Amino acid sequence: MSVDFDRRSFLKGFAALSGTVAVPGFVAKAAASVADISASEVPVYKDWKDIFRNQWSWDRVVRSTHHLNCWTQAHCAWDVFVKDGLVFREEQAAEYEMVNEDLPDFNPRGCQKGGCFSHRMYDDTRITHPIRRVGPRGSGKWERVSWKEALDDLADTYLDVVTEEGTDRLVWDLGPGIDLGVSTAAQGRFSMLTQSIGLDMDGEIGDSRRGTLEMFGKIQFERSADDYFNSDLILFWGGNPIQTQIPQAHFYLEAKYRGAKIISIAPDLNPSAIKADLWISLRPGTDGALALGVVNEIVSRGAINESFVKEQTDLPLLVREDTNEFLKQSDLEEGGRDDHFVLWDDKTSSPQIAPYRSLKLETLDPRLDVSEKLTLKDGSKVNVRSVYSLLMDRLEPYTPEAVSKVCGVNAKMIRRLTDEILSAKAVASLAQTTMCKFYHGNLMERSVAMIFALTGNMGRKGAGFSGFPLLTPDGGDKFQVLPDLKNAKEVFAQMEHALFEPKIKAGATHEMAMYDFGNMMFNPENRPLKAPIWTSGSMFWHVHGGIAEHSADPAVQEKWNLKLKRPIYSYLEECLDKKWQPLNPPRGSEPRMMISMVSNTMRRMRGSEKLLEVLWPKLKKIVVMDWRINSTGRYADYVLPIAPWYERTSLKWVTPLSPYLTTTEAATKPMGDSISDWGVIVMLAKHVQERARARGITTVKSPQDVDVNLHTLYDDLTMGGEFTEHDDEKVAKAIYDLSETHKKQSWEETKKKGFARFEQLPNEPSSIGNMCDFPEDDTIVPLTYHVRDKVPWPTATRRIQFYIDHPFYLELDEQLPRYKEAPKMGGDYPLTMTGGKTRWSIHSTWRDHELMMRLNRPDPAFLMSQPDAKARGIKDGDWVRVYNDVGSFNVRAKVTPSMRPGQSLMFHAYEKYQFPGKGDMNSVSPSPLNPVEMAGGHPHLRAGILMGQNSMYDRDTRVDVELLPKGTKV
Amino acid sequence: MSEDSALNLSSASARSLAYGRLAQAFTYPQGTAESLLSAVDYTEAFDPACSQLACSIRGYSYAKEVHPTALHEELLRFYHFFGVKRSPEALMPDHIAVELEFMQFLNSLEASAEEKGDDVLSIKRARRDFLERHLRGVAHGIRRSLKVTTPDCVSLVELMVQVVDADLARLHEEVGLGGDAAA
Repeated sequence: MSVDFDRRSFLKGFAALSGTVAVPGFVAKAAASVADISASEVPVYKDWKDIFRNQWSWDRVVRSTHHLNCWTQAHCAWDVFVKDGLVFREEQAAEYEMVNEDLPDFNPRGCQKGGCFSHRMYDDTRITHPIRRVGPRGSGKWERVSWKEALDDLADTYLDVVTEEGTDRLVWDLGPGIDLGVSTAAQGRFSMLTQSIGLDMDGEIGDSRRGTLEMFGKIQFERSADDYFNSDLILFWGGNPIQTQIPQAHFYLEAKYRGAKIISIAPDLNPSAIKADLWISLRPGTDGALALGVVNEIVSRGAINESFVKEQTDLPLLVREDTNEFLKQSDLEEGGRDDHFVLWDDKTSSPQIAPYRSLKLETLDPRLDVSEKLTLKDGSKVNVRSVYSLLMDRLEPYTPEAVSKVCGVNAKMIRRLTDEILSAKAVASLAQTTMCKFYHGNLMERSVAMIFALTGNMGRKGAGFSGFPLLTPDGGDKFQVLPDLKNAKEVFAQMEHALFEPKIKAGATHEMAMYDFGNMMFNPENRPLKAPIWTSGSMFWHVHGGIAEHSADPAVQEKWNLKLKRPIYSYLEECLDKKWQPLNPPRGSEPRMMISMVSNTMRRMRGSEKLLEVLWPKLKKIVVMDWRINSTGRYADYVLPIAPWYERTSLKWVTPLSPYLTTTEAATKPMGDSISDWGVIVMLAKHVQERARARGITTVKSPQDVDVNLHTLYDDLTMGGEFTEHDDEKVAKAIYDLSETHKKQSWEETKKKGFARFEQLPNEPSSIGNMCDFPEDDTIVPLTYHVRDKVPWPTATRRIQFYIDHPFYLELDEQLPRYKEAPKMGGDYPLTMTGGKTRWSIHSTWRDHELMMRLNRPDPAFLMSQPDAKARGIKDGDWVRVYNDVGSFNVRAKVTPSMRPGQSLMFHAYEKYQFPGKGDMNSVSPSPLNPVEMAGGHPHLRAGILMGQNSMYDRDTRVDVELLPKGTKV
Repeated sequence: MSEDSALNLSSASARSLAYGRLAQAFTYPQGTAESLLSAVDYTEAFDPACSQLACSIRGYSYAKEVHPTALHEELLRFYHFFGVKRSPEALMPDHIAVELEFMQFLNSLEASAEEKGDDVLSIKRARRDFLERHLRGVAHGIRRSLKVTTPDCVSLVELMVQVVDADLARLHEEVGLGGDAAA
């Protein structure tokens, strides 16, 4: 029989094929080869059910997890089942030991995204070979290339850039998937050795927690999820944990069995609100006003916890009325110190220096309400008032009745909320990073945090304001900066001692010295050791990426109701001139090469189209490392295939909420040519070294005159070949062994078990802020070293700081918390576009995954209220255009009674390519700079690891919506 | 080699060769003279990871009623039943090239059995069931989903569908309908 087919030329080519595939799909099970199978007897086969008669068995089962940034949920141990080199399924490994018999345990952990990752990693989006674009950027035309082709090309471009323009022109776009583990070890060592620049994404992704930094001098602190079981009142305020903390939401709900109440404060009836005892719906962006109303009530009822605020806060400290700055010892005495502050002691009726090395008041009895006239050292007189006194003035307008008009919450409800807070012994908030995505989010956070500080609900079991949760094993930074691991712990300890001891002698706490160490990463000038360089991602994208251009026109400040005293660019110039925010490469030095790692900038960046217009033309090479071609990859020159988590052995940070280091073990070999992040970066170093030697390039100088040895880069990065591109597991083990946080289990034991509880506070910059013990048999209660042990806070005044005397804050009247009306970002349009984390994906990783799309509406959805939809003739499921002055996008309307009229909502992380037509959800968010977040040159308002950098905002975006013509999407 | 012999499905060895060629054609071109499609054309037509125009050439995309895990298990069970397992470097078990290669293998096995004078009924039934339960669905799914109009891509898909349909029709004549279809 012949098939009737008439395409002769095609058939001629087809006939020329040998019929042999380059990589055979099969190998023989028992025979010596596939061909030998024909020599054996053919099995009897009657129908397809015969193939199911043998018992199915797994080749192996390993413990693993998903090392992406699911942040508050991170991480969950899974059993991963392998057959024929493929992962078939995963199952929750519910083996977390009971902490103690009075607490709910952590079993089981996992969510629906993790439960289908074996499908996700093998679906059609997976790339398994390096690919290079063959058309213009963004044209979508690609071809596979070998690793050698790709890496030689990248190495040569890199060498051209560093030799012609400087070492700081290579920029690492480090996204929220950063692991501070094995992947970061590679990037960190590469950056350390080459003095290339890593972008700290914390502010850029809207996680700055600026108000928390302003008040506490740090942002990273949180309790274990089971400690919420000890709370009497839990405020879901700025978070939606039932939706976004799937593995530990049970703890919050179980607290109700103990008698706890949950109050949800949010504009919309979200999944957390429906589980609460009380839902307080307020106008979007007015949380600060509501908090100030509560604070006003607390104060007017005389319900302040005086002993707490006198000891732990700056409320007793004196402020000069002539300068609005804190009164310092140096103002009063010759030889007095600038970092010693003054309070009014009631016992002696005199100004006294506030305790410095400890918060213990000893014999002092600070007066809270102070208004005095003092004589300065030069004999002049000055009026001083305590922060408390100034705060009373500031709070006066925020009566429940006045606040009610702003936030739309009845005054009685504000008083009831106050009652609930004051009657509970232990009040905890459960916030994530919602408020800091508002333009005035810093003021909101400070206003809410004041409630906790004034009532002493800090540093106790079940009580506290929720910070930014992060917990990292403390071996990663050692691995990054040391030349080799010979006597590594001793060498690092000596180095740390040399750096820390002088500071501690001068009065710094260990925590403060550690923050100085972290800050060093952002200041390549005059560093005592060669270290990786990080810079503010937000500042980088604003300046080099052109995002600041969205708000360059001074007229928009007026139109968007930003209420600034000067043009935004004036603040930006001042900030950069004074080096208040780190920016590398500096203005005037163009970035030339960008490697995007665990990141998806084009998906997440507010106003990201600007990057294509402004940044992309400057870049000679754009490289994305990922296992799929995300929105950023689509505009790259190369996409390098990364092995997903089941294909490599690694460790990563978690959070105190679930204080278990959770590991991955390579369940299978990487598919195709995939390789781990570690492997790719080490191979890049190898090719740079080879090409440098071939081109006769040896050592170049960084802009700070640091030697960069290009001809030995691979040797140095791998510690003389000790850790090669295939040695992920060795690196993971080394980091584990270098860490002091896990001593009870060996690396092998932990890898087999899949998790290990943190045993002590990590001694590294991103986690030390928790400042508490990590007991094996009890909950983790952050900040106890301050509250219980009286260790000073890492703020300028060494106390929880209500008052900020920085010039930008004074200029914009933000020295104390206040309410500022939300701006109209994008123009004067009637709907406020809020946002939130989706339940159906972690960032964009599952956003276009078919199983998750089946469980949810597959098209991007714009949530709007019924009245707003009706007024525009829009029905549920209609395609609409969302627009404002800066852009537009097309999306389906989801008309829901859960939205408050005037509020709309886009859950995050849709890929650009999921929106039909031009534009995506970021196209309408210009994210103008907020001057106070650019403030610096201040003891605690400065950049550090994952904090202190200006944020980006989208929650104040104003839009309107119109129905698209029937049957169209664009 | 003549065109007719390339498309000759009348003998097991000829079918094996035809399936082998199809498997080769649906594998990413390695830049050899044997490639039927250019790398760019292949990517644009058949690699959804890289191209929004591409259609899936994976079985799971066209077997929506079956969970991918169950689909992969059944495929591996088919492969294991006849003595082969997935090679560590192979494409996914439901990739069209792998399924075509399995048909190449079964036909080769059948040719050997015929040479030895062994009964080939088991192999024919297995080929029928594999085509019915897997390959036919993928082949037709690809034809329905193909978006590019590149002549060689269209021709390749049409050829594959014709080969699969013709082979299955012949098997129905020889060994009847499969279990589910017969029921």
